[in-house]
Amino acid sequence: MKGDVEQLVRARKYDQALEHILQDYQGKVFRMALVILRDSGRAEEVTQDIFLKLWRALPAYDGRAAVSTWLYAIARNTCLSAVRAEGYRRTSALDDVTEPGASSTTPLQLSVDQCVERLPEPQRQVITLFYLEDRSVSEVAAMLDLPENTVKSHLHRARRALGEMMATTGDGARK
Amino acid sequence: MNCREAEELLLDSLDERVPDHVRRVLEGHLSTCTSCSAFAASARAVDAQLTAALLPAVPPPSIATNLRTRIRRERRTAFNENLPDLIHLTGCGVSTILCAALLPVDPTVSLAAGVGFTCVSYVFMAVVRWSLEAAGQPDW
Repeated sequence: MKGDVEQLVRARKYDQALEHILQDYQGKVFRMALVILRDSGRAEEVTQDIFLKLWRALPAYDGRAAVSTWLYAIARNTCLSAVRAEGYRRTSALDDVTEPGASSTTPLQLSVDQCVERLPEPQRQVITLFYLEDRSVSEVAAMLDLPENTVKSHLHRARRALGEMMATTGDGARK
Repeated sequence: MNCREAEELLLDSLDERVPDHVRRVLEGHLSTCTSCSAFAASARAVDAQLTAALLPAVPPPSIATNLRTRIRRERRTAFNENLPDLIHLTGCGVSTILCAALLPVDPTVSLAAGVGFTCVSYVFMAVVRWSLEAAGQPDW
């Protein structure tokens, strides 16, 4: 993959190189944007922005870093800029969300998704991406630019917190 | 193996495959410890529910389509932005060649004068364009 793209870039076939990258990473980048932005419409726009930035930068690609590393760095920065620029946090939803592990007023109505939403942001991103990306710790680590041990640590904490939340919500946690 | 180690190992086993001999030791501990056994049941239930709930979202095909449209648009814009430069350089090049061929002076003098005029006018044009952009005028 890296070699293919590098050869295409060397031959100045940027559109073909982009098609290669798009084919392999479109899903991953879209899911990453979805996890960070929590809105599929916005994730779609930001995914386009990410690949457009990549296309603009392709002439400068020298093959020293893996394409995925480069792409994920662009994706992270673009998503975080989108979050910052638009104040994109779902502030209204935060009113409904209590601290992790805290009791809720309607605990029996919580779904798995709602329990995940109650996790602290890094744990939420890690555990969601882990299950969306075929349970790959290394892929999640690459996407979020975290050491694998940190990813595992977030996963462990998230599972413990979710276990406690689901225990208090009983069957309500089942989707 | 104590309970804390068993819990960590159990959570590890949900993240990635653990060696069979380690798994056997873990299962041995779980079969004798009721609290760890309950923790294992809870963690595995959470894992199963997350697996069922968090299905990979498929990116809509419009991402690729719209991206290609944006790239085409950007390419057109880039061409339009470079058009004045292209016209300027082509015009100066043709004029220089015609002067070198037709004027009754040494062609190298015509070529040197043409190159000099092209460079000076290019810098002048760049300064004017930069000033207009800085003043918020639309691109030409």
